[in-house]
Amino acid sequence: MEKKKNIHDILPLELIRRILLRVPASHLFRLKCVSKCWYSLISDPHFAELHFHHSPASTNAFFCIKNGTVAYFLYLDALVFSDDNDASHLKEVMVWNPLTGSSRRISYSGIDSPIYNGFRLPDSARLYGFGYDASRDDYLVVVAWSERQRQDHLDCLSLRTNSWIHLDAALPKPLHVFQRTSAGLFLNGAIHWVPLPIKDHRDAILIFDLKERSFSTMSEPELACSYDYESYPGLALLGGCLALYYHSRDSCSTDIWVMKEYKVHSSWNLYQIPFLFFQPLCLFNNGGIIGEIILSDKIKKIKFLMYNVGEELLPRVKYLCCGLNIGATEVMYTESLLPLPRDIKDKDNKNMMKNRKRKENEPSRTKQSLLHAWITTIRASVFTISSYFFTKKFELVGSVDLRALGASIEEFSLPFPRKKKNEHSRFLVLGSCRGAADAMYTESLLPLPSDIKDKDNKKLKRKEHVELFFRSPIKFTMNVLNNLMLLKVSFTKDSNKERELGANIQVNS
Amino acid sequence: MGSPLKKIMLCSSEKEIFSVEEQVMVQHSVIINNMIEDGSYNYEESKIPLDCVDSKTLKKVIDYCTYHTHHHNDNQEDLEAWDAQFLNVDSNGLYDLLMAANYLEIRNLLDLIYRTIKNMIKGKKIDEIRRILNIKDHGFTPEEEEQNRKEYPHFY
Repeated sequence: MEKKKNIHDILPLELIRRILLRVPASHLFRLKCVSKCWYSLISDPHFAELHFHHSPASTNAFFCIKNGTVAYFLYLDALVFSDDNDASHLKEVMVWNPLTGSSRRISYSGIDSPIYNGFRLPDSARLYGFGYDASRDDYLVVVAWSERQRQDHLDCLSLRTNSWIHLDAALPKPLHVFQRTSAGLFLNGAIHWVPLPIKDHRDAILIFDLKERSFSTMSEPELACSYDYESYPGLALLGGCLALYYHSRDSCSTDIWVMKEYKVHSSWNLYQIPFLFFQPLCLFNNGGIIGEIILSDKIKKIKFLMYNVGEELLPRVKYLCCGLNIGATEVMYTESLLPLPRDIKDKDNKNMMKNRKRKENEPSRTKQSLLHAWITTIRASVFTISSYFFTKKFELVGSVDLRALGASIEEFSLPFPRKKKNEHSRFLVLGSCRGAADAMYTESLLPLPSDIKDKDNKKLKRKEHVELFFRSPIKFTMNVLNNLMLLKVSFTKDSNKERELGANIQVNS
Repeated sequence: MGSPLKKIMLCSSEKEIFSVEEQVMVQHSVIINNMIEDGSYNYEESKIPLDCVDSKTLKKVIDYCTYHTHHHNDNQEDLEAWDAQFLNVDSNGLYDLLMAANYLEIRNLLDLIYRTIKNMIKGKKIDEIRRILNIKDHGFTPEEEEQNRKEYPHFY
């Protein structure tokens, strides 16, 4: 028999490169170790760019952080878990590439209001988002906040320069009219929000274009103006299209409007999922929509429901139990290999920056901890921020009287307090927390600019400082858990209802 | 486009001559299509020399093009099953086919082989991939290799 030949002896590099372009990013990272020659092929930033734009094999993954220290991915296409990733360094505001493990800390001194004391501060941040500006090859963090409900500010962090700048872009509406903090969705070079309440359906979607650095608005589907005040619309990215979903109490369903062609209003397409609180995560080529729902029978688990939405709606639900703690920090993500802009300034001004950073860190400790649990993600990296403000409010949620909620639990929904004034506002907080903790994420091998000053600074960091950062995300997740625990407790008291729920699941699955 | 009855001559690296329906090659190979279209092929005399494609591989390539020309209306599943059977060759044969498909610019076949090789390595451990592709000299220094193994033990 003929001797088996070495692939390198026969195939030119170009052909090997074309094969590698077809391999999903999560596998590619490992293939770097196959040979030196593959290593240089895969590490090439041009390869990363090409892979991101042309790879047909992008993988949708659900990303979660458990106990603040371990990160997992659940690949939704195959429903398999990734290996554990060490996430213990995600204690501050970070840009992180979970695939390559590189990370970069960012400082957050953009919002500074001497009027409020620490934990009230993020209350003023109404809109935030993370996006990529292709025209400048730069990643931006955008935060819009208002000063005592009077003057609105728009701050923007450029990862390329690693500095915050104040933008003059006029906001289409005064920020204080928005009731809750809204996490943006990045798509087509712009960040999108659906800030509540929607007063006029013509400007329901707020858009900030990262290239033009200006705001614009877009209308929701015309038929959507019939949804009531409590439908809590949200945005998702489904099959690369903008999707707007509403929880419709009337039909006890989640109505997902997908804009097949960006900014073409005739292209809004409706999918109806017969679950009140379904949160769409991704759309597969075969027309299946996978989403997340929290059922009250096993509250420590996240259920993924797969909906087959083809020619007609198939009333089939797949319960996929991943066994993760809910309340663990979760985002959705899709793979890529794109590089982040190199931060030359970092290296050149190493010493200067080091000193500045240290100064910034000390007085802004509260602010950084405030920013801990907002999570938003785009193509390359996870951006985590969160907020002490949320944890404060979660404590209020925990005190909602759940006995008033009976009916809606049977529908597997998150409970709505009856519309008493106080309780209503508390539910809003729950809503904002969930919206803030979930995002889509694109997996990649992109290198982050090595942050040398971070390493140097590590030694200088006081221990107390670290603990503070550590505590706040835990508190955040625990409170969500407690809150849902509470649901469970009040629920299991009534054993009849529990059985009823069990029967319903049988029917549906 | 040439008429379906016309035949063209292909010459392998062993100087073996293969006579193929023109239509079959024109439809699949960008290079041969260009040659026919610009009139540089003479039906009486020309033989297209394929010096880097051996007879065994050329025969496979012609089989592929012929089958896909005559069965392009078959349903997807049948075609896929045929393709899978067609590519049931050893890795040397696969590389030779890839080189030939690349030389002749047969896009469908290229895609098919890329996908096949991708599936051979996807999700596998490094040691296994090296064995499959017969990579003995990986080019890392012993120190680099040791560090990789230490850093990513689950890859190996």
